[in-house]
Amino acid sequence: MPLTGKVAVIDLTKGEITKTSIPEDLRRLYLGGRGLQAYLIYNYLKPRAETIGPDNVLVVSAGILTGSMAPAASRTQWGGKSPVTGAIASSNMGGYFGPELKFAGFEHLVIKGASKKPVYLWVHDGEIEVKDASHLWGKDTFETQQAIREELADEDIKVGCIGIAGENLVRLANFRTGPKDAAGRTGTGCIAGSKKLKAIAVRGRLGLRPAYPQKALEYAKEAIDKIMMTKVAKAMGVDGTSYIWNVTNSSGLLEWMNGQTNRFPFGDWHDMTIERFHEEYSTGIAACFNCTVHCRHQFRLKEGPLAGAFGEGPEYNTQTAFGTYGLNNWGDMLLGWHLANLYGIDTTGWCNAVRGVMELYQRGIIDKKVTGGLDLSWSNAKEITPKLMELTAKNKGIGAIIGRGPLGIISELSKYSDKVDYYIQHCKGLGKLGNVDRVQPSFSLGIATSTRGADHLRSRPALDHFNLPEQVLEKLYGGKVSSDYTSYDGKARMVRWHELTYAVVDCIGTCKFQTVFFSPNLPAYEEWSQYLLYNTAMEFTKEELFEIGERVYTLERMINLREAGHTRADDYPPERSFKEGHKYGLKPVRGKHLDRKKYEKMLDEYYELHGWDNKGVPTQETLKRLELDKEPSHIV
Amino acid sequence: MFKAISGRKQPRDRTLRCLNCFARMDIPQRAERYTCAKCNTEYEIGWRSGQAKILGLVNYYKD
Amino acid sequence: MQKVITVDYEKCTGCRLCETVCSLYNEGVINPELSRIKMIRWEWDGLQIPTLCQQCDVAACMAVCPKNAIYRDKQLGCLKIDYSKCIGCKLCMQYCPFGALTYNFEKNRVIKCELCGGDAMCVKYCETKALQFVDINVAAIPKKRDLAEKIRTEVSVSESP
Repeated sequence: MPLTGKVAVIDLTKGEITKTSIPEDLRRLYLGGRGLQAYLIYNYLKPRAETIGPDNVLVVSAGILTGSMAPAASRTQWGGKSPVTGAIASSNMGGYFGPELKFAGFEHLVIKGASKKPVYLWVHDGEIEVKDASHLWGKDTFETQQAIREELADEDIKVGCIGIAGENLVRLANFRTGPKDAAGRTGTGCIAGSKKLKAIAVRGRLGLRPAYPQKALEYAKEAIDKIMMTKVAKAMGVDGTSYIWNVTNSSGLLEWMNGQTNRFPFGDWHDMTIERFHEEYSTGIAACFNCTVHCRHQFRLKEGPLAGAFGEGPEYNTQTAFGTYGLNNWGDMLLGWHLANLYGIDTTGWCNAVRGVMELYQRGIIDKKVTGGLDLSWSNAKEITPKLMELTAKNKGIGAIIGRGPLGIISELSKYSDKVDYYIQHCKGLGKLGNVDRVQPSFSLGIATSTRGADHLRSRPALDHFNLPEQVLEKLYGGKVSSDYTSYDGKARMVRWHELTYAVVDCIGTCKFQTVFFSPNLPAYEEWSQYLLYNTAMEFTKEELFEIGERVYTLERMINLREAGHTRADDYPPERSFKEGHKYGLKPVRGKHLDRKKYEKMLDEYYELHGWDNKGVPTQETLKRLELDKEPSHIV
Repeated sequence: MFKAISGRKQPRDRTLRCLNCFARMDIPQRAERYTCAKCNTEYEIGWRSGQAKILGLVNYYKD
Repeated sequence: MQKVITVDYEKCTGCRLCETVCSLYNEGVINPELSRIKMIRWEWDGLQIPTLCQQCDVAACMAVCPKNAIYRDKQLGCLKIDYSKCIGCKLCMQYCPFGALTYNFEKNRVIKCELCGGDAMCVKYCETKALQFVDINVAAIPKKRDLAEKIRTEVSVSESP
């Protein structure tokens, strides 16, 4: 049987575990992965629950195709209610955890309640045990994973765990596996910590049986050959996601000092390139499960407090995080990155918070009395990083404020100035990346409307940068979209299309980087239908998959409405995007910022395309069409 | 450098797009610099396994 | 001429496609436990090394089998199991110095690499060519070239003014 992955509900308060198969009609509505996860969250989360407490849920969801014979079928989605934003917690990770979960016979774990003592889950071949984790409490994410493998005497066990940040209920804490894989954003580690859940260990020997093995093998090979002939496959395979940095830096599309400048202000930009990393720190390159692109770097630190330590990374996101608040060389950036991985802290969110606080310090809004004596000047970044990271992980001093994320920072520090709200760069309470969105309507709309807050993966229409011919765009999006990335024309349509498409990818569980995310020649609906057919025997047309994307995205919107009251007022990029243009940059970038009137019009178009009213609330008609009017339905 | 590279040769390994005006740029083998014929933006060029890439601007933003 | 699967671990990225396609093609299920090639990983050092049957000339598995169920394929030169004779005693598993034989607990029989009938799946899907299926006479030449290249670099450096 191709689809044997069960849903397990683990109640840590009562110590009860139930396992259910997933009915086919639920699959046809939500597929699996992020889709089914949204359904499970909406059904299992106590409405308006406290995010840090037993009423929140932590849901772990492998994709419907995770672990199967499809290229890069490695991904797992984590979710619940976010302690950072109060809206949906939602984060996707690669590596090997998800496939192992599927091999153990499970597709989803719904963890509710809270344990009184530290525990970890041991998931193996259809069985789940709750085991004592008091001996693991206090260990970092590397030590925890290895300790569990030794305790259970199996080096092939995959372990997801929290570091001390999660234990200390730091809101920016993440859930990690391997040297660097993470359900990074929206505080998944904090949810786990509040349930005293230290780790989830998985080992699967049941395997997965594709419906048509020979066809699945052949089709996967065809798909791999096509994927590997794209330019981006080679770029990623050598430089990883960091290949993007050289392009955005040259264009003036990166921002430093919390968005105050788009020209590298801390030294020589050559020192920040992946080329420099290759020369000085790289020890090799590796891959996630079933992936031929192999985009994950490996490195060894050479100096400093962690000299000799092995780690994985960096990513583009390392450069746009650790490379944006004063660090100007790989040694320091990798140290910050590695510390975050050991402590289990969201690197994107942490660096965004640090940038915000440093700008407040720069402007004299906060001083050393507030920072506990620490000098938070941009020029002191190198000195301050390990200390600030430790304070965050231990929830102490200024670290405790940083660790709460944008909403916490604004709430704590607004007493010093009413401008604090303007300087903290976030959407819906999730911090934004250190890249320039304000010149690009599609990116701005994307971060503003992303259901989990300002993020770069919900809908990032990277294709907008390729200046593709308008006929190509019209064919892809089903309507007119401008080739110019600074234009507003058709961008609402573009953003919505990518939102729904990436929602489908997250339901499926293959890596976004091997899809239309990076190139119109990479797999999309036609290919996914084939992967699904050969592996699961389920047939989906392109239209049915697209509708699943709609359903999932709208359901996430409903979760946000119920839990955080999010409506149109929360669908805006930071105010800075409307007010300030950057001084530098190539012609498309220099001096530009968002036009409020045009943004409002684009937002209206966006709502209309989605079938939501002009406050961004899904209409009854849309809910009926997507069969969401009967949720929560408690089928599973 | 590491040995683990998928070394497939792509047909347009030496074609890049100008970031300023999006004109096509055909980079000569092993070139270290290239100027866009349409808008004169000058680029530093790098190579990854036979594929041309933009490293940066020769004249990175000055005051 | 006999061909062998060579392993260059420095090219291995740890993607496990070899395990996936091997188990799927040969056993009908995606399961690294039922793969005839196994990737061993040191996660905290960033090292991954694929291991598989070395198709020994003087094979311990063949020698120890009480039923003579292991034989050499004349065309491919690899060692195969005759399942009409195999009794599943697992002595071959214990005596192989490389751990190359695995027990398929679903079908209750021992399995080993049999080169997929001449078109090795693991080699086909290995993107970085860490696994290659090459003529045994030329299998070592890439390594000889690597060594010669190292020497050439040393010589040209030491001889430069």
